[in-house]
Amino acid sequence: MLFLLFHIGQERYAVEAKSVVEVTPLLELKQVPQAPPGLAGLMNYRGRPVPTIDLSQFALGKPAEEKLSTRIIIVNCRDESGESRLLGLIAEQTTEILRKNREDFSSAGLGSGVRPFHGPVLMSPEGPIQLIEEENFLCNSMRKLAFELPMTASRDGETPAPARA
Amino acid sequence: MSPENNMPLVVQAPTPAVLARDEGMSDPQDCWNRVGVFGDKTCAELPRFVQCRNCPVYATAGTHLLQRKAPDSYLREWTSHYGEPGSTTKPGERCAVVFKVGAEWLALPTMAVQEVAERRRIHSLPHRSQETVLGLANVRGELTICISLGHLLGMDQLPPREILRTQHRRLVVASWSGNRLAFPADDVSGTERFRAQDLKATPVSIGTPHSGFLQGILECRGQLVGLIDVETLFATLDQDLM
Repeated sequence: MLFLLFHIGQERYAVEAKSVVEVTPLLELKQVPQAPPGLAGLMNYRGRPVPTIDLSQFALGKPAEEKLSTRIIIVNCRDESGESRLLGLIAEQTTEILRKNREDFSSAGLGSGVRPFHGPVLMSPEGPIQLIEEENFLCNSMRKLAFELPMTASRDGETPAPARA
Repeated sequence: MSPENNMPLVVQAPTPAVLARDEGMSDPQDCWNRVGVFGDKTCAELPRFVQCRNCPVYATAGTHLLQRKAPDSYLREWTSHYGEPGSTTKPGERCAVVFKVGAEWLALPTMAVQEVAERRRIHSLPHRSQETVLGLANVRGELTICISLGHLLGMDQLPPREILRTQHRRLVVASWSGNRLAFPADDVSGTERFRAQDLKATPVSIGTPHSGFLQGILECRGQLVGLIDVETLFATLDQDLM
């Protein structure tokens, strides 16, 4: 199986290549007012608005650096109604792919894996690589962040935006 | 010894070596200029990697260049690039690679085309007197049967087979349900999209032997192009060659 590698902070993560639609350079995004932290904005992907999450902001609270190696990974993701949608992930150091078996990633036993960053880990000689699984991570935490925006605007003590009439 | 003297004469893309020089990278990092293929070739790892570009040090240096800050225009240019509507195939559209064999323009569905390769020598096979089979060619280390589409389709005024083996401009590699073959083509004009209704039936009155191989006729850029029926092509060759 083929995996796409990237960094969040100093650590390495992987997504399965089969869930990746395209990897684009970093793009200018349309800001979403009152967006929860991590939702960087909407990218114009070939004429379609695609919600884009800054993984570095989401996980570590500081935005990804504007480097040539920081790219947007566009993945397929199902929203709550099961409809397939595109989601952009801003990821640092998206420069490598890796061919490994899925079994080479072993569970660390961090609960059921339905929480973000609880996915299985590959202990490679160059350092551990954690798998971000489509069904768990992308389709729960990210989906909430990107597609259930009006209801979940309250995070980290922020006051939710009053619903407009 | 300055690194410039050791640069290859033709550099097609900016290699890490060139970029590192332009970026004024410090010495320890550009070992390829000192002990590698652009230097005195004394690197102990060189026999193992043959060329510096196969070496992880070189790859790492290349990756490091991507750690630079994105230039000002970078985001804007790419944003407008990705903002353009994509040229994805619309429902019902098909796609074919258009090429020229002899005097005729032909097309093969893109699904069946593996690659369009440069000219290479096609080695003739002993005890093979069939007109269709030209011989074997090395495509990425794999011996691939080369056929003459012109002969298969019964075209007139084809060059001698020896000329076809050596003088073609491109070699089109096709594969269908696990079978692979290649054929020389004089010109490959690219891919064309078409809708099913654009495909006109091959005139029955022509009755040439090759009309059975054609699925229909397309009009592309003022040319009439015969679309090859992949199933028939590979089925016929299967019978002929095996």
